[in-house]
Amino acid sequence: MRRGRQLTGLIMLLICLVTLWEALKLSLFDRLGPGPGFFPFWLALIGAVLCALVLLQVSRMPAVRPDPAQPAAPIFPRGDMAWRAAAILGVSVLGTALLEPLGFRLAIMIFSACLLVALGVRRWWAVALFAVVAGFGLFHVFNNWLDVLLPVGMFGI
Amino acid sequence: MDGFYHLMDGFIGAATASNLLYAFIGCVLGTLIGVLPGLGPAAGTAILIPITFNLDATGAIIMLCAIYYGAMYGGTITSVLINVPGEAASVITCIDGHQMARQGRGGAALAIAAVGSFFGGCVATVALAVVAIPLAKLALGFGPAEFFALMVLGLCLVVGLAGKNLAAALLMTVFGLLMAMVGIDPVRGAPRFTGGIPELFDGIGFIPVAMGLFGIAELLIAVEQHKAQIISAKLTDLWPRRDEIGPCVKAILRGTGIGFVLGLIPGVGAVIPTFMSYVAEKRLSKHPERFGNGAIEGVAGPETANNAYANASMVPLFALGVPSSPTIAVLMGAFIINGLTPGPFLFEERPDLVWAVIASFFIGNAMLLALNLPLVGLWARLLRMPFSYLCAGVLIFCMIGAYSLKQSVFDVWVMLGFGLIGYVLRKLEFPLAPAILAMILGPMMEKSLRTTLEISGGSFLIFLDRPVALVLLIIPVIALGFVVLRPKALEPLREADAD
Repeated sequence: MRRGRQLTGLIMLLICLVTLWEALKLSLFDRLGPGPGFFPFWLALIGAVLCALVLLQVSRMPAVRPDPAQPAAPIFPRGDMAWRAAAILGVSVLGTALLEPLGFRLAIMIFSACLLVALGVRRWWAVALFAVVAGFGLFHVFNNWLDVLLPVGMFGI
Repeated sequence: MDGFYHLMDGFIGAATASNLLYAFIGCVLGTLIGVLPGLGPAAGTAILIPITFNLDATGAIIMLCAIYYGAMYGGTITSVLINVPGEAASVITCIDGHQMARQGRGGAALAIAAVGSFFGGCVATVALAVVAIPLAKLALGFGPAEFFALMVLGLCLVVGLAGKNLAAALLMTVFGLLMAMVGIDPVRGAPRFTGGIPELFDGIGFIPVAMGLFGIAELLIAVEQHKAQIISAKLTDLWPRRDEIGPCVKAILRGTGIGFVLGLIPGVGAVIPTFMSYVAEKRLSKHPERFGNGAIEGVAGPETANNAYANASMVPLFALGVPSSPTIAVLMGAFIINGLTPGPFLFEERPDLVWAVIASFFIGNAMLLALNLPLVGLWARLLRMPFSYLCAGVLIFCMIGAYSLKQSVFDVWVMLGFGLIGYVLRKLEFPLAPAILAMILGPMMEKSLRTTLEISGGSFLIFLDRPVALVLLIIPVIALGFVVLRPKALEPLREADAD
């Protein structure tokens, strides 16, 4: 927790400092009044002070020594749970990357099949049925019934 | 009386066949969102925005509002039947609702929750109709200085109640405001912080960010939760015993009052009214020892407060244009997508839409009452859906939702990125509600402040010359000062929210 909050505080501080630098390149104030850099400049400045405050609070947190008799539950999952969370993210990245080149129908079929298998579904017919319904069924509903345009890929589907 | 006549006109607008259908679909989808664990009202409403793209603005807003209050009711079903709240506001219902289900009285628990929700929702909507016009008229006299101060007040109240750590909550607010700065400057039209990426010229999409922070992050957290056992409740005996009717009526009346009053205050969140209602019922009961063992007032009060809160939280949105919770912020995003700006001007520009939406709350609440009791068995069966299929379905809807806003895969990447950020921030106990509210209020806050300073020639002393703005700015200073100086005073409320 402590290290995680420290790292988050540092990343936020970096974002604030970059914003501060970028805001200074824009006009802060001119003859018309406050410029495009005015509001972000003050926000980034306040944000940097708050980051420093959060980092100070974290550094003052008492260090918790691990008790071998009662190990604390990890903040982030481990083992099977970590694998499932990583699978969800990884397959989502794959599905998103395939959306434009392959089109919604094929990308979502591949995405659904990979995700279900990664999450432990072993009945191939259930995976195939879900993938086809999700890919082709939802495309039909959104594209034809709800007039929501979804991507069509290089194969025209 | 003005409100009454407008409301009657609103009923004419809301009772068209198409709007009734949209309200019905919204209620069904909302209940489904509430029932499915791992999908809260904010994420559910955001994900379902694309299905309203082809509707007229009135129909779209009616459906999205119905999804919101449908989700608030749907969470009750899982609380009672499997002791897992479908959404955060139903946590307290688990205590006595699930005990009632274990005693074979799940039907009575769900029935009293439905009746209480209907009553609380309807009374809060009447009060909304009464309060909204005077409040909107008052706000019409506001200039940019007052609007800026009002938004600062709204954000500070959210920050004050958002978490145990004030600095972290304020930092999240600044993070949300900085996200809103990306894109074209709203006053001069100059591009800012885009890094030369053309997709960022329109700014970072609010809806993809909301889907990521609440939808994807909730899903990743749901992976870690264990499966719960569904109780096969007897749903034949739907009514409370005769001796329970009196306490239930009183609990419903008190829950309505608590839910409505707290719904008017930005940042309170849906959990706190239910928690306060439960505490009030337990303290006022002649037999407090029954609480925790299946006391029906422990279901009636909080569930009523929950729905009264949901309807009352529309008052700040409609009358002032200030969202009071992440779900209301998503609804505000839906207004903006439909070319509408919520706030006092909306009552003048689109009274037909505003009053039709308000009238639809009555219709939607009645639909929920009629729908949910006969369909409880169906909702309970849905709970048996394996997580793998639920997860795949939610992710696909998130992708469709993010893509279809601008037909851009970039928004899907934004959603996934913010999903990961939201997951990490939630794990590290950084509150997300201030970030999402700040993000939607950011452009308006900046515009108001810069216009104010243009009027004053750059002097901040203008706020001293505007008494309303001054008061609105002093309140958050006092509120945050109170939080800093008396941190333990708000501890019970925060703990309720955190639970």
